[in-house]
Amino acid sequence: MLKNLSKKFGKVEAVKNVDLTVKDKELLCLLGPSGCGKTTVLRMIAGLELPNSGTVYIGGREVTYLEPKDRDVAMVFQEYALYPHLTVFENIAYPLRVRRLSNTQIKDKIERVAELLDIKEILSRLPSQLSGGQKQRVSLGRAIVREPQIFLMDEPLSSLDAQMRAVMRSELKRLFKKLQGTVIFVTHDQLEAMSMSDRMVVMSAGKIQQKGTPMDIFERPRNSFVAGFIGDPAINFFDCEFDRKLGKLIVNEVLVFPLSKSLNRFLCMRDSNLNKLRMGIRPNFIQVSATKPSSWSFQAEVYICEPQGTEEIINLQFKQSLFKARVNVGMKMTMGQKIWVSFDEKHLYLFDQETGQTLT
Amino acid sequence: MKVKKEVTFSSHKKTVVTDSYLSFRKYEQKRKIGLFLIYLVLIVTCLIAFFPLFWMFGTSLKSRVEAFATPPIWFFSPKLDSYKTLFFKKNAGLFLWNSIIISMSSSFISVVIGTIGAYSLTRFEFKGSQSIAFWILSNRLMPPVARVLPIFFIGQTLGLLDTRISLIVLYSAMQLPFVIWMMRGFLQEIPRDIEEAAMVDGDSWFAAARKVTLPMAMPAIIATAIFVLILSWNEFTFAFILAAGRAKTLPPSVLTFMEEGTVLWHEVGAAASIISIPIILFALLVQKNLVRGLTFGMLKD
Amino acid sequence: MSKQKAKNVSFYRKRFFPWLLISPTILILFTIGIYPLIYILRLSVFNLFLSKPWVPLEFIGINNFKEILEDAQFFNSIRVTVMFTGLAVIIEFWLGLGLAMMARRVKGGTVFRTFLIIPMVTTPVIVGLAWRFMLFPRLGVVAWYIQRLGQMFGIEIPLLLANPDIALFTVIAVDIWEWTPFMFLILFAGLTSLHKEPFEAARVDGASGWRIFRTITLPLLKPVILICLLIRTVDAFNTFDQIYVLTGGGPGNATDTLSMYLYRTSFVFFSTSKGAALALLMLLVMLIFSNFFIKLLGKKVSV
Repeated sequence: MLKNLSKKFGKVEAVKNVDLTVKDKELLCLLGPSGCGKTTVLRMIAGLELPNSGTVYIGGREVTYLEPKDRDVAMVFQEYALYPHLTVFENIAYPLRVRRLSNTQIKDKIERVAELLDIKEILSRLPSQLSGGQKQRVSLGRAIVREPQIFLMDEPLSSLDAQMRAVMRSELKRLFKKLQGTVIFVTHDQLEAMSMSDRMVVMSAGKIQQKGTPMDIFERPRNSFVAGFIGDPAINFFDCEFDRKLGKLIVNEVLVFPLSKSLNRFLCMRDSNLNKLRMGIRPNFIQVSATKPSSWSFQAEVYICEPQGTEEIINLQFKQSLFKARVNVGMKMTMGQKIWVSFDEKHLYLFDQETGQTLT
Repeated sequence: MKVKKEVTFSSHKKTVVTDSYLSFRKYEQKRKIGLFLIYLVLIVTCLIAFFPLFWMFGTSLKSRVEAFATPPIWFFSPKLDSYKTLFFKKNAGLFLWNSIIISMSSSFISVVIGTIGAYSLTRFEFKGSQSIAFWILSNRLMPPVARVLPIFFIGQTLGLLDTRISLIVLYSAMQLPFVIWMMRGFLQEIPRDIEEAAMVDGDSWFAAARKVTLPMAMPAIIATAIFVLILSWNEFTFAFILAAGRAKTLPPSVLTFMEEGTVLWHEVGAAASIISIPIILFALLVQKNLVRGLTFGMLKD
Repeated sequence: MSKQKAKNVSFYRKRFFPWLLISPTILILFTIGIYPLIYILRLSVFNLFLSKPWVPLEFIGINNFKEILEDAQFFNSIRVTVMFTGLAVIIEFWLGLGLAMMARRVKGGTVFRTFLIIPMVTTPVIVGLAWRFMLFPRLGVVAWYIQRLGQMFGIEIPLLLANPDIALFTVIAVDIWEWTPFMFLILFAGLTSLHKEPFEAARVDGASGWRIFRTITLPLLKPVILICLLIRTVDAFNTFDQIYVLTGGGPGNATDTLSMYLYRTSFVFFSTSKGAALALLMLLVMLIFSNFFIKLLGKKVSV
């Protein structure tokens, strides 16, 4: 039973009061924009950085200040960090040699790993002769062969080209499920995070914004940052004012969005000072039509269209705001054309400037 | 910044002082001691590096009596007598002037020719460029003492011995391989794309080289020039054998200061200082460039 | 305009133009490099004695070489030179490496480097002189304090430069003083140029400091190491200036390196042909040596 309990506190204020538990055999992702501290957290788990305060536990053992080598973790680096002067075989064998395994044992283990990762043919090559995907598999092999308690991965897919990435996403997940490994990985690509993790942790500016399963985070973001970070294309935001007397949301002093009675009451109850809000609506929930639909709607101008095959992303402009809608290919659009836009209150997210209030 | 926080999840409430923390403290202590030792070693090394010249300089400021005193005198009042003797009685001014002229000229010439040559080596693919490069490198292998001989003969036949010009030409030639080696490494770093862009824009190759490559290569050129300057200034063997009189440069002249029965160490000290201090100061001023040039050229191989 | 462009774009492939640029270089190098070589080759098989200009020039084939190889002094010089070169280079290397590794962990490396440049850029003759002065029996500052030190422990420390047994080591020590900075600078730059990621991976993989050094740092530094070893060895082999000033080859022939021997032969005794033959031998040795070294470097070198 692996229990990862870790608390890491400010180090150059890179990481602030992070509190995190990773379950056994789980794939956990640390997601966030560049510089949010996620890599620092990972490195503190590995032992490459030491926290200023707080503790790290791995498998119930306190390891906060231990050397990486004593922690029984394996790490796959962003640029793979292969030993350039050693063959693939020796690269993977390195941790085993450090532990003074016999040659036969080493050969055995490596063969098994090579089988698993399909790298048998390149065992005698040098890293400079490998492609990106191969290098990654070698890097993985080096980690796997140690049978560590945890696997740590730093932006595992960012050095690959787009095609490889799509392939490796599924391959990696499958691999680790097969190995029944506990994995913590770091990425800034939310697609990666969503597809590969059992649980996600979204971080920003050193703090944890939200923890949960991918679907959880997608459907119930705790704040506008998380909502804006997850989802492709990104969620649309409109700043608006809440008029409690009339029960409406006013956008840009022009657009008026009527709120249902229940929602209105809900908002009033929450905070009597609630005034400035932010509306969030995901692009796929925005409907467009050439004629004025029966429900509430407004007119916006087509800014540009991005065909995606079966779908189309329409960039729309209303007053000064740009927003995107994702629709199935159907309507013909031209630049500058005015069409009707509408959306449903059901899919609306409302946020304060800080926290999120969710409605789905 | 050690904030003690308890672990909220597990059953025990512990402070931060745990096993791993203890071993960390020991490790930290060892590290601090190690660091201290390193600083010590480095400082001692600096002193060792600095001392001999410092001592020579000090000696040059002593009177004859003080210079020969045992035990060695550390505190005294500085006098410029030795320098005066050197300059007024022993012609040091001439030697200094020779050194300056010869070093600077040869530096300039060799860098100009060498850079052009290196440019041609790197920019054009022509047969034999590889072997030429290798041959240039192997020029270094010959013991300088040996090479003096034929040069001596040439000089003698042409009547060019003991002239500044011959030394300038000679030094330029000697430093050329080095210049080419270094500049080649640097020039290889400069991408051709920019030059090609300029040429597509209509410039002739010469203008392109002048406007584009030259500015980019300037730091390298300067570094190399400085290096050559130092090498020329310090050159002893050839000057010693080939220029015994009027064109003599500083390094061989030191020996003449020693020719009288007892070596007049304070004067030697003065001579040494005259020779070495300018160059050291110069090197220090441009050390960043120097080091970059030196190591860069090496690593490029 | 297009004609102009065509001319420019194809200039890379022009045959004669690059040769034009490099011709001054080649010309000069020929004069300085090839011609002396040919001259020396010729000389070595004749019997020119500048000291005895009345002796008629005859072709004597390899007599000069035989004479050298039968000269006991020659073998002594070889011994001295090998010891000097070997010890100096090896010690300089390890010291330089150690210093470089230490300097990496410490801030203020630039200051350190400033001081270290001094021995390297000082005129070698001056280096020789300065040390000769400091090691002068009784007068020299270093000699004085070493003697005092010896007196404190009751040991009689021999004269460092005048004692035939120790003189060579003293000379080696001076060379170490002068050229360790060279090793330091290059190795330091080499160390700095290494990516830090393989090192982190090794730390995570469980390797200890010493192991990392042995299995990763050194192999990755190999090209740099070989280059500076090669350069330094060739230079040490050919060292002349400092030794001439420090000991002149003495006492006796304790520090009589091949360069000193060559100097004596050619410019003191003026046995010019013999000197030429000797020079050729030295060149040959160096060629073999550097060839061997460059092969070691392998394909990583693009000379």
